[in-house]
Amino acid sequence: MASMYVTKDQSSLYLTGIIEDGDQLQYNWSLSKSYTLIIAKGSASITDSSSSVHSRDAIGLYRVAPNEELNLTSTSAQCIVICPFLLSDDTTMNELFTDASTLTSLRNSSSYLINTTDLVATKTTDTLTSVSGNLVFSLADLDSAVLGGLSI
Amino acid sequence: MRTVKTITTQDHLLHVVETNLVNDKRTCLNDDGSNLSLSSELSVFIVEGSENVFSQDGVGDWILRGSATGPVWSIAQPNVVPGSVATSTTEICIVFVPKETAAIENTPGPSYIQDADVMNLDRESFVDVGGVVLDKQVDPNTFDDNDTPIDEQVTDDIVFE
Repeated sequence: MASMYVTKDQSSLYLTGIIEDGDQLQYNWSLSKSYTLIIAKGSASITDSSSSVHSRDAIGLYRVAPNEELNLTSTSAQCIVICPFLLSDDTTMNELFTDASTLTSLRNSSSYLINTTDLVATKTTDTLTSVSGNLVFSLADLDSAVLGGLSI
Repeated sequence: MRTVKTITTQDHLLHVVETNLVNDKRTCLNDDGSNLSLSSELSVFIVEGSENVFSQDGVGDWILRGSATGPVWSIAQPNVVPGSVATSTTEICIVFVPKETAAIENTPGPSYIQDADVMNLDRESFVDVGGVVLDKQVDPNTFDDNDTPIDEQVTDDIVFE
């Protein structure tokens, strides 16, 4: 299936999806506010709830509308997409994390939620990779990824 | 040559940085062109390409700390003077600056950011607030802190709605 990486820094939470050609990435949840989808590499088609298809090439931006679930298909050999969220945005954070304790831990943690190598000037992750197949990324998956990453 | 294009999104300011020459240099600069450290963490996604990562030691010498090859996340550390050199012909990075007043004010960036009044731009539009072109190549193993004049191109265009 496509790969999803959950990372953070002091101010933001990032969902990074890596999707192979023809594979789909879906979020089976929506937010009450719009958010940004960045097509960082390759190209993708996004199908909205009215079945309209929106194509984007890297580096491209797509506004995920309020109350819309994300439904994206990679149209290139490898498509990388990023959704950044502000940790200080209470509305969005409370919708992403129904378990308040997870959100509190996330905000208070200095973890990046992923293994990094210390290069003094930067902390750098290993190369992100993808696997073939579709992925439905749920809020339960997000909660698990955060809880699993807090100890890193 | 290195180009920086800055776009505002719902909650972040994005600097899209693209180099098209091996040995292109990247640092954080003060208005006077001097190198500086960050006051807080800054996430950078290296989409593709590779770079050597440097930082300055206590006496201002550049020390090679390692290398990174995309796609990777790289979190720039506070209170360190960072630098990097592209080691591939093309390197593309996206720098994420949170759209919060303190972060905008404390994160080094081209001067057009101050002029654009980023915090008051429409949240629902992606706005291209400007760009910079820099041209400086350095030795990928030793670094070089000679800086060149900045050519800013202020656009303030809405690129998507």
